[in-house]
Amino acid sequence: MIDNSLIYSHQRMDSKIIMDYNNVGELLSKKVKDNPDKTFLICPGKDNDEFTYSEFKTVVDRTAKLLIENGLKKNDRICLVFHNSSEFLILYFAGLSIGLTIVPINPDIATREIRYIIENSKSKAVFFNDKFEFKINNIKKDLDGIKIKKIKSIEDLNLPINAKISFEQPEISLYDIAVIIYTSGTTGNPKGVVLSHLNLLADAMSISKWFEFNKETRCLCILPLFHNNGQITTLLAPLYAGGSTIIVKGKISLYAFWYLVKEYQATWTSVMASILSILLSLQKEREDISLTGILCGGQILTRSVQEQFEKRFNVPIFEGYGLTETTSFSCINGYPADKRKIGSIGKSLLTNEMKILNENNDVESNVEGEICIRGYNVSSGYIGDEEKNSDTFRNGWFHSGDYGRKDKDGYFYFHGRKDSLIIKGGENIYPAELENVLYQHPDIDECAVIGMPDELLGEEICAFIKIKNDKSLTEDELKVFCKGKIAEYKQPRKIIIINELVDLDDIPKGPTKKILYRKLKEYLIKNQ
Amino acid sequence: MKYHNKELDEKLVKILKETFKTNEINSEDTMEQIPAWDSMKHFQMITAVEKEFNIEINISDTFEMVSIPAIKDKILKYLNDR
Repeated sequence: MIDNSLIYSHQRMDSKIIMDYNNVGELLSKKVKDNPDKTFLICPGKDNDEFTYSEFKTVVDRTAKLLIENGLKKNDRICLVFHNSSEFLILYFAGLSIGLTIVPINPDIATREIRYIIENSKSKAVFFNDKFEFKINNIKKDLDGIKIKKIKSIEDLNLPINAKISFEQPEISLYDIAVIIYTSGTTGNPKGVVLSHLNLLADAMSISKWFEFNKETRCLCILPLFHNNGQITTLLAPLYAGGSTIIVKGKISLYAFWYLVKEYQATWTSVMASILSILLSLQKEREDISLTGILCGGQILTRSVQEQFEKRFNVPIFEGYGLTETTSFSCINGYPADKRKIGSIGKSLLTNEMKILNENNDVESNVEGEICIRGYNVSSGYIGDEEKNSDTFRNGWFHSGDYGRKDKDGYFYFHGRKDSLIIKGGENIYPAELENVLYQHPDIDECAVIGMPDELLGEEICAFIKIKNDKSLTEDELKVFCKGKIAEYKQPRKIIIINELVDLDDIPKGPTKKILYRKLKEYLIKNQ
Repeated sequence: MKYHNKELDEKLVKILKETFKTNEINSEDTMEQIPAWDSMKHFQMITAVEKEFNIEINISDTFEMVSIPAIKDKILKYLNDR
């Protein structure tokens, strides 16, 4: 039973749920005991790594011992800079099983962003794939006192063959911090979302039960494991049921999607809506008979894409909704498929409750308001940001900043973001991130960044620039200026120079001089 | 058609420059070193290679095409097998 005195008010629920495990390491150990010879992990690629449950546990234990020998102890934080790989997962489970906190970092972000996360999370060690040595080398000198370890292959995580692997297992509770996931922040720097073992286990259990996962479940993980969607829906949720996971590097997954499903008999996968659009655009047809369903979240799924996809590939799509702050999903459309309401993001999961509020007041069915969530899968808060915490987690609810409604049957519908967040292909990007880069240019007087509608990615990035009076700049020059200063996916697709416009002479602002992003969006749509 | 190494290199670099919209392509670059190399560009690159060299690449081989030397190796394998 959950001890309410050990969790925040926004993590408590009216209904009482009993958790089966005390921590993620215990979940893995129990499943190893139940299914030692069953396949746990498949990593298609050059080496085609494949692990049974017991094989995986052996290498995880050896890596855990290695971490301890490197001086790491319970509550220490370690950063993992990897694309989807067996090395990432071994370090992930090894760290969690000895009480370390894992801070996964997207290797594709700019070097200065990686450094910020390492420093902000106060991590004691950084493990990175050798392919990113060129990035880590640039910041190594600034990371005084932090252990830096390059990992080329699993061999780098292993102890000598005759080494004893026994070690003292620290006590790890549900309330201990398991991971810190960095997500885009309103001020420009990413913010660290703190998630406990309870958060991970609650969300994994909910999703596993929602879709009736079992030992035959085999999830294809093509979303990055440095985000929660990949970690929970296609790794911990099938693990909860004793199933298997196929992990693939996202960049090579789309071309091979239907091949991977067929070759490895995947039964489930989780995607962003943009992936469905891309698969629809390819001349590749489904050849498997294994795929049962696709979970889709992270950006708006249009009815037309859903209908076309289901008609052509004959597989149901289950739309859901969640944020990093709710571990992954907090609601999913009804399962099996005939319980779905098309266009809805579904009903709240077993381990969280949801409601629509308008300035802290309940609203009636079908009335728009802010989507608010509480429960065991809701984060305790952002690392070191009390102001943001008190604003976002208040009156016993996590206020998502998203608008929507709930119908009389308890199904939720997503309407949009309250703030100016851009969601491009499922990646959250705050305007300030790119604006901070643009403002480094000496000839820019003012700028504002907005999301513009994009059929494939949901939104693309558009920057409005006001150049200083005696200067001149072109769109191409500005694009070149941004290169390398911010992650590739945050680069502007379109740059509009206000000085060249006849119907807009300034960036629109409100009475407090706050930029009116909404007005810029209206202008863009009107003039497209 | 037989390709000389130099000719293959030139054709491949042209494809990569066009696909990734950059002039900064080095012969040893990996996927990680080219920021624009994402899942969609990976797809476009393989399609362009197939078209240019008139080959059909097995999907399982595409998993290994994550660096310029590896792409070159695969192209040579298909050309030699023809």
